[in-house]
Amino acid sequence: MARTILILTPENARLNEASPPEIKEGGNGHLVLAFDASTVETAIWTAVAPQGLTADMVGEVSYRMASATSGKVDWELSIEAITDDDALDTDTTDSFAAVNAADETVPGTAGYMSQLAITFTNDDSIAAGDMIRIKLERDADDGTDDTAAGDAELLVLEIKDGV
Amino acid sequence: MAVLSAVRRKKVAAALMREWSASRDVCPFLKAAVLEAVGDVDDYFEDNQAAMNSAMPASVRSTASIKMKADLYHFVMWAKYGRGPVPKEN
Repeated sequence: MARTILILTPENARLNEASPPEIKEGGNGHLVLAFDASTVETAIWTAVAPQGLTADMVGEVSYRMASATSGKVDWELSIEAITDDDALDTDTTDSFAAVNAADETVPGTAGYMSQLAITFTNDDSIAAGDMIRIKLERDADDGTDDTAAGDAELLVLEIKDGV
Repeated sequence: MAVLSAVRRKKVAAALMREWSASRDVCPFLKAAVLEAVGDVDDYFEDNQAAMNSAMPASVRSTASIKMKADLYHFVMWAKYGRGPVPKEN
């Protein structure tokens, strides 16, 4: 049975210094991360993999479009799992696993929320107790799978296991 | 004046989409169409700048800088459609 293991919110994200999504109140009291339509922007959350973690993790991206009513949006999730005493200099190096991606046609009305599930096929061999970072990007420069105009606004990101 | 480069056109399209997202203007078209529209409008200005220039009085045509002429066009367009620095009429 699916189990929610992490709830990742816009206000808890660490935004990439070079290309951050805009964090803002996007109307009606919803704090969002606004991902640009033209530039790939990155948000990262840090957490600890919970005890009892099982395989088959899925990220559920809850988002809305600021203005688009047609086209597609392509979200990408990747994970970095660091185990106790791993030989990784975290000062200088990251070790995110390969990207996990999914795309869909955006809602026909701007502002309507949609949830897109992304399976963590590449999970960096995550294990309970690992320090983990989860990275979310909109693949804005994918001309085939990301065609919707304007910002895609992340409302909340749920990570589940046992799916 | 030459048309915008491909890089500049992309930046204009990106800036437009950010503006429309911020103002919640509905975009039923795809982002590729925004870029195409930017190019078409840029080409239109390039093709018709001589005619626009000729429409101005000689004193403005011969002495105003390109920036000032761009401001002139910009202010008139925005006033026609209720945007920009010129106050709306009551």
